[in-house]
Amino acid sequence: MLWIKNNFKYLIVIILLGATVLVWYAVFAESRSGLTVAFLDVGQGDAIFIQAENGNQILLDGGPNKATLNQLSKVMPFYDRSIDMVIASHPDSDHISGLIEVLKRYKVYSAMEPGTKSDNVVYQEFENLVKEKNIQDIFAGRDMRVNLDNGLYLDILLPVVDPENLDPHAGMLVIRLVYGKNSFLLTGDMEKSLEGYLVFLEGHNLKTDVLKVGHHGSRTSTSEVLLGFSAPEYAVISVGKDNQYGHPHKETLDILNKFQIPILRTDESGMIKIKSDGEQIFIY
Amino acid sequence: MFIFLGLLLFGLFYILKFQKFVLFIGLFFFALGLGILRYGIKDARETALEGQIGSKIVVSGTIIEEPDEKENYTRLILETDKAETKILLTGRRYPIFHYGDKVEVSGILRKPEKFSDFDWPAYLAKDDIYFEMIYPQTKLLQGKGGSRLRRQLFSIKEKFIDNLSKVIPEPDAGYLAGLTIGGKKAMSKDLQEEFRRTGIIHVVVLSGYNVTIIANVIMQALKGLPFFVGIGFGILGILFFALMAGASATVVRASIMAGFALLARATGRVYQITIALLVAGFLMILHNPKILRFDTSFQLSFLATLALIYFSPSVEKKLSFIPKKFHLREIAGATISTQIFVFPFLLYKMGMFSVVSLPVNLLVLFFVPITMFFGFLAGGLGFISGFLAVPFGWIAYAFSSYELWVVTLFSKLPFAAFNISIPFWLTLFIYIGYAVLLFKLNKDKKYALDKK
Repeated sequence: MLWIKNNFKYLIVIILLGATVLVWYAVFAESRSGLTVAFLDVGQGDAIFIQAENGNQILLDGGPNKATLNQLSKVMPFYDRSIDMVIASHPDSDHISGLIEVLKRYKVYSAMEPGTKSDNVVYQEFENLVKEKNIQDIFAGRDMRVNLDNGLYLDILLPVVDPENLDPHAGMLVIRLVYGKNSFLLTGDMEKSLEGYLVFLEGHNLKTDVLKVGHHGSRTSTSEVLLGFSAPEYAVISVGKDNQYGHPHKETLDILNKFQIPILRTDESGMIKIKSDGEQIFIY
Repeated sequence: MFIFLGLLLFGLFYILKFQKFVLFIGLFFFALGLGILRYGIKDARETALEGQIGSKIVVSGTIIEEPDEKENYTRLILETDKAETKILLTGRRYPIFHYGDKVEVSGILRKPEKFSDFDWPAYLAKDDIYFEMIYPQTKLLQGKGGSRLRRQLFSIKEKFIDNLSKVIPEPDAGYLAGLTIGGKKAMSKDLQEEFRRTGIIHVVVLSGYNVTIIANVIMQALKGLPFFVGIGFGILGILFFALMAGASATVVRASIMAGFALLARATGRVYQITIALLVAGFLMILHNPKILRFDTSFQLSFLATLALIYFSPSVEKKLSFIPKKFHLREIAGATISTQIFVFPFLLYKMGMFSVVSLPVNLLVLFFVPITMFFGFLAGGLGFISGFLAVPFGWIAYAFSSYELWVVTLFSKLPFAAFNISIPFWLTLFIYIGYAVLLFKLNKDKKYALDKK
């Protein structure tokens, strides 16, 4: 106590200094422009962080473990402890385990999922948390649109039918993120048969700037017909180094090379951050 | 290892001037014989499960330790209801089980096997675990078993970590949790590797190594108060630590030794404390002889305690160029002396030598007490209100980001750590050298006293 009294002057200076640093940090952290889409480096799994210019934040899938939390700290200011919406593309553990950790630590307002039922324990834990924390639970389906900002929205392309009794990969939530002239096709673990169906539904509407390659580059995804119709400028593969499945498969890389699409991989370059001003995309 | 620690004790007796060499050798072999006997008794236990290795079994039991959560799996220690045998279960992260849960497990019973260079069965054997099951089916039967006190402590600990992670982002929250109440489980594998490379992993693993330093600081901070109040708080701090860390055998041992180091430094009664330390070490080994060989934490804390009691005062004298302000010299002395003392052992045991260990320790340890202080405030106030915890959490975050920055920076240096292993005889040789050195140092002191 005596010590505080004696050094009162210095304490005040330190506190004020701290406050100033904090304010300037916040000023920089809050001066955003355009859309940010970050493919987080979470190892073998998917996690995509989306932030609008107005500050709306979405986390699409959460990776296989806590690694997502470290990555989130790199794209969010330290005092920001909330995320507006988390989306589970499907209830497999390499996509939602990390979401559980996020739900436990961040204030999350709504959770979107395709509604595929799964009896795996990870999904049950996820559902319990959503209920326990009173998070708005949204079952998404085709023709739904989520408006995020001026000219920025998410379109749900799949699933078409209520997928309650479908296999998780067949009931996959497939999303198109549109900002002005730019768009991102976010496919989760979509497999070839579903890709064919999507092309049948959308045709040339599928044209996109960035394609998130389905199922971590597995040979069961990324058909020629999808690449032909979506004609992406970049393909992003979210995959862990030396994973046990051998992802990304050579066949997938070959076909992307054949279409001369530049490949961005999280196992090689870590987090892949893409920005858009509505006209053009920039890779960081 | 056996003989090596024995010799160390040996050297200590020597310091204490029982210079009856012949009697000594006799005593030594006598003790060795007794030790082997005691060791044998410990090992001789048999169990009914032995015949069921390799077959699928269904057993029910209680989880008797805090679950050890790794990045992609969780380890549980099950004590079976019927045979009261321990089985190590390695399973998925979800569903989450807690200490005291009664569960039914079905899977294939296995004997632990050696990894390429790690004696896994021996490591488990020190805790009397001779069986394991990999990814068994685990079903919760009933919660809330086990000791009520421990259950509540674990739940407080869990809530505390929760409070931290609600106001502070990762990886800082995990680091702060490790720092304040021990348990590196909240830290990612990569980060732990960085801590190892820079030789500072000890701050997040609860061992006497860090407890001592922390308790020391508590006492120093309360220097204005009467002497016994200071010691009281120091010991309370250690007790609190041990309890929060789950009071596992390893932690209790480490804490007791930390307490002795503290007392030695505070009272200056090195002689009495040494005897106390030896008696404590003896009792611990008598209780479970396996720790002498397989419990790295026991070995490390014993060495670190010795260093703090005998070596650190001499080192501090040589550091007169470092200002005494903010206990800078003391921290430097404690760091350097413990580092010098444990490093041959670490080389032998882990085969890794961190070149940057000293600078990193000095740069980080100085801020550790204040980081812990605000970490405690943030986690503790979180019990009352999450909002209240925020400002303190931010201050703790400021310090923790500095510390993590230092660790990451140094761990990225290409020459940060070397993988070299030294043979047992060399380790032994170095420690004999240390014993002689200590003996000389302390003899000088005695002379100095005599002259006065």
